[in-house]
Amino acid sequence: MYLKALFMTHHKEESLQVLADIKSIMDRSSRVLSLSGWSGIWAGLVALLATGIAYQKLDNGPFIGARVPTAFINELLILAMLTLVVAVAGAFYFSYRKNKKQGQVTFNAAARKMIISMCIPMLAGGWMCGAFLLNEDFAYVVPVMLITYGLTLINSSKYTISDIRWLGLFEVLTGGLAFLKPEWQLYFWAFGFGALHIIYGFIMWNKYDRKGA
Amino acid sequence: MRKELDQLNKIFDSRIRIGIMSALIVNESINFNDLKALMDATDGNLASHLKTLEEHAFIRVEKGFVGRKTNTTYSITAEGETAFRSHIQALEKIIKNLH
Repeated sequence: MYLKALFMTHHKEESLQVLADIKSIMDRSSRVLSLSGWSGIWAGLVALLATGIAYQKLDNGPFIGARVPTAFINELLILAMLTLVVAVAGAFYFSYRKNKKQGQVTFNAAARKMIISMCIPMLAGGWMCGAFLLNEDFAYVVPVMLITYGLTLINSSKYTISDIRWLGLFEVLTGGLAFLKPEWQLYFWAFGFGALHIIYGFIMWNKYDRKGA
Repeated sequence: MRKELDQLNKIFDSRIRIGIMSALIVNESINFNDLKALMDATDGNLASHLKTLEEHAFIRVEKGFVGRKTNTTYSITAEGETAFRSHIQALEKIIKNLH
């Protein structure tokens, strides 16, 4: 009787271990689990810095309504592009560093799928913003940026930690509110791309990175 | 208890074969190199396990090219999915039978 119980316990433990392995491989093969919290914090800080520069450059305060001088738009556009490049580069760097520490590959099939799933809505959003700018219609650029970015995050949440869906929802909400007050665009931009990223990054760091470090 | 143990599929006795099936059940298809990185196995070892699964018609192999390099991708068959799911169910039964 005792032997039989021992035999069964052994099988139970083994089965538990096998099931845990199966779950781990399913997750690792289909999701990018190694986005670092620091990536979010970095992106948020870069966005806030960019907002600061834009704020100083605008004579009439933070209000980008339809009143932006055309000459200034080019500068804002370059600033926005630079911000995007620096933020994305930093996000990659921090995740790469985390992956290296954990001995995981950064660019697996899931990462490639995630990048494609992000690029399509982002390019569509960029196209819309470009069309607004060409028509010198500046009122809805920031709301459209926030909403497409939010939808992008929701779209790619199936390829990474699902918490990112929440960040996406809040970005969409911020974009929706920004439509109501186009003259406060810079504030909404700073909140959506700056504050929300920092808050999200900190929560993720606290939830996943701190334990692993 | 005996009954549950008998329901376990002998083909899924190996850690690497279980890993391959787990990865393929949640992905449309995966190529050799991604599987290798995921499983942390050597080329020869992984290839022989893939061969076994292919022989049992649990997985489908597709040979293609990316540029000039060969790119072999693997996907799960309907039989493979059924067999793997009942294997998981048998494992779950073993756990539930003991408190």
